[in-house]
Amino acid sequence: MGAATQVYAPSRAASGARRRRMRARATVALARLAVVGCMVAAWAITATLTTSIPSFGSTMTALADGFGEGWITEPLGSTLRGAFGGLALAALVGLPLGAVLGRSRWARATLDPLLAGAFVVPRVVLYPALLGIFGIGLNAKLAMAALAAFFPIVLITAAAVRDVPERLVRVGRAYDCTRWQLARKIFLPATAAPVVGAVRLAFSVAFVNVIIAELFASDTGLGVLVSQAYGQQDLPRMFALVTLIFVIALVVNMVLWASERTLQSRL
Amino acid sequence: MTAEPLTQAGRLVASGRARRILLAPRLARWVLVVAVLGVLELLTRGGAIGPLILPPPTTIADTLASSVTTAQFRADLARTASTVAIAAACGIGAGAVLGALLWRVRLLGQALEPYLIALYAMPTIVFYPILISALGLGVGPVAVIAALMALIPVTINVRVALASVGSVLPKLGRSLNVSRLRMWRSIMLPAATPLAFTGVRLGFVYATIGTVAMEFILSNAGLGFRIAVDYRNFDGAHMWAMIVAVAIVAILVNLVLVGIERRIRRDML
Repeated sequence: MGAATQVYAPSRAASGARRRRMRARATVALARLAVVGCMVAAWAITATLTTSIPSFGSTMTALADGFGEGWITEPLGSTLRGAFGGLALAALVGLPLGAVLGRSRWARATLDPLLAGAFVVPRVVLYPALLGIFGIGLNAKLAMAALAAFFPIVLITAAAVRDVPERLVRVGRAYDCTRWQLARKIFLPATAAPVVGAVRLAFSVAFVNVIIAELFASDTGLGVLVSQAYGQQDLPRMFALVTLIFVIALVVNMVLWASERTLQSRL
Repeated sequence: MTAEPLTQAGRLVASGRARRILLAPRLARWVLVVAVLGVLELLTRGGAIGPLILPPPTTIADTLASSVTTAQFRADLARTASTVAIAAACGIGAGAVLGALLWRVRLLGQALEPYLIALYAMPTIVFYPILISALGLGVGPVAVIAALMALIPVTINVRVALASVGSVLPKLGRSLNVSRLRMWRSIMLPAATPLAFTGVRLGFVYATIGTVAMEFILSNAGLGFRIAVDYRNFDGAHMWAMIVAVAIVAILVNLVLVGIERRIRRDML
């Protein structure tokens, strides 16, 4: 039947397109793996040329020792608790505030310049004041992370809510949605992707600030270990810590980035 | 196209409404700032907040006013400003070239994208021990770290900006048989500028943050260094005066850049 071939033909074309897309995706994935290979190779080559960079093998041994002997686990936990705790606190306050700012032209006009101004100030200089309030320890780091993560979350959430197309809101109103339904069925799906992006950026800022805070003054944490390793001129240990920090940054970013893309494609 | 006059009309109505209450947000903002400062003044004078955590805002203002005229402040400010300028210039220049390369070689761009994004979360500052042993204590390591931090947003934004130009304009250029240089200068550069400039502004912001943070951790001069020294000397008033100075400089630079950004974007629309 003519109708059957008409249905069949495009679907074959579609499957061809899908195969091409999958092949392209596989190439990109391979290229991304190759980047890791290239970085390790470049590291290995540079290590043979200079004594200020330890060999890849000795660094990995130091990293494995860190987990085996346990000197890395407690500081790692402290750094992650500080970064994620601060992020959670910032999200708890920042997301609702961002949503309000996004919907209210007046609130935006009033607060936007203040928030944008605070965003560009290097907030790490406030760490001494936080040390004064909380004392040296986890709470000061957590507060630092929260302070750092708060501004990107509020600013991006507000922009995302503001940019929800008015026609979507009108559709919701036409269906007699309650305020709650409007928030859940219209605003949540329409802003999910940029909000995850905001959380990703906020995590990055929080993580960096916690490490900087630890380099300045803290009782424990990866930053403290880095400055200790530098003090003892223990290069493999130092590079092991730097590698671990990059891997954490990479893994958290990849997870959030992937969910951001999934949410975006569902829209 | 038919929707355009409608939205314009809508915008006119909205801006008319906004103009009627235009004073209100600005006024509300100042009321908020003054109220917060007033409460802090009361709390610090009353003793609820200790002088080591936060001295009274008026004391901070006094200290700032008396310290901006000192030679030390001028030296610190000059050091920080010149480091930011060097770092931003290097970071933005290298980031623009790298962003263009990653746009041109598409697979390279796709392969490096996740790592570039993860670098946002990389405290580049952990490399400072290596840099200090290589370059010595001074402008060098600070500028390198700040430039690396500025590089990332510029690279990402330039790549996105070039990709957003699309294929129509380059096709027009090719059909007019323009040279490669002319193609970049007269077509790609102006078309990509509005989006790319956001990256340049972020590059400045990140260079400032990187410079001050790095000075704060380990340096021998600069506003960030002064804050750390004041903290270790328990000089709360001067420390807060320097924090306020850093904030004012950062906000002023950003205001100028936002102004330029708005102008560029309006030109392009």
